[in-house]
Amino acid sequence: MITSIQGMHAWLLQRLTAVFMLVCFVVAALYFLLSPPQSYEEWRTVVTATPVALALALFFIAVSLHAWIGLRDIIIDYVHRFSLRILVLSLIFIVLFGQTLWLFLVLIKAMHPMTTLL
Amino acid sequence: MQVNIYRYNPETDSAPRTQSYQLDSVVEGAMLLDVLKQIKALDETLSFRHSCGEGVCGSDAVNVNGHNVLCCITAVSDLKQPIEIRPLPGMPVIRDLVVDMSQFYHHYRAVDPYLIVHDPVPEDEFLQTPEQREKLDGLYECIMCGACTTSCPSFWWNPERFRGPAALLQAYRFVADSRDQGTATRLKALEGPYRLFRCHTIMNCVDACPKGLNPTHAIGELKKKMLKDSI
Repeated sequence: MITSIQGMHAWLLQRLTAVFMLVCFVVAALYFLLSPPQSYEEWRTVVTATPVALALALFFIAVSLHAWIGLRDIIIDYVHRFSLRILVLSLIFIVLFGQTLWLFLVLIKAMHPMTTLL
Repeated sequence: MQVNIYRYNPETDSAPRTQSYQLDSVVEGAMLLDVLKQIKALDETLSFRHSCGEGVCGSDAVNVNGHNVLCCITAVSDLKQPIEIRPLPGMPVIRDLVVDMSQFYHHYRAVDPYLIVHDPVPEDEFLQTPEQREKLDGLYECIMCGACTTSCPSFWWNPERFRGPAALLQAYRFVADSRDQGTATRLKALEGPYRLFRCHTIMNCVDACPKGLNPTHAIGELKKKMLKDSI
């Protein structure tokens, strides 16, 4: 369970997701600098290509995991009342989970425009 | 010279206060401890700890102008005036500049700061190569003054559960020791979100250490060792 990742595993996962996100940023920056898409259709073709879509999906997961571990660290440091901590952590979890789900749905819709998921 | 000192006696005062002292003259080359002794001669109710006076015992650590220092090796001429002296942050005050360091020592004891050896102990002595001995440099010199731990925000927020830089430096001092055989136990005891991993590499500890040690590096080495041993 994602919420139970602690100690060394959380520390390691935060660093691995940071490296992955950094690589994604560099690749995206190079793409936009060297051969920026000229139209929406061209942009959609690139984004919906299987390797890019897979990388984007992993990127969304990495963002949420990285944010979850980082925000949880801040909450552990500053929010000491148990009930308040549970409440704040639950809200963060719902927002991050919802955000990831929403991004996945956007990606799926881009790949399959006829879908009625949204 | 004006010196503003935190004054608080929990047994009689309802709240802490700052008391200002004016000194007409201070001997040339005076350390802050000399100034405190001079003030003590004027006002014997002022309490502070001190012992060796040479930066070895670590008993006179206080917060001066927002920075944790040892009074006995801090030259007054290097300090911005008026000099603000407060007790070490994040510790319960016993009286004035004297703090209760029980929590600090609890964390120190919790990392088992001694050699753990399972094999039969050699009859005469343990042998180490110069390279093995060199790994202890920068670790064994800690004088346990508490300047690092009490400057660490992670310790301020979780003083009961985060071991703090001084104790973690000691934990690594024994993990790095070629004679010690307790590494697995030591690392297991540091797992979880609090004891080791509350450190966010803020590095206040490095800035505060009067002996120039680097607890952040030791903490990083503990994390690396933990990772290596888990793969």
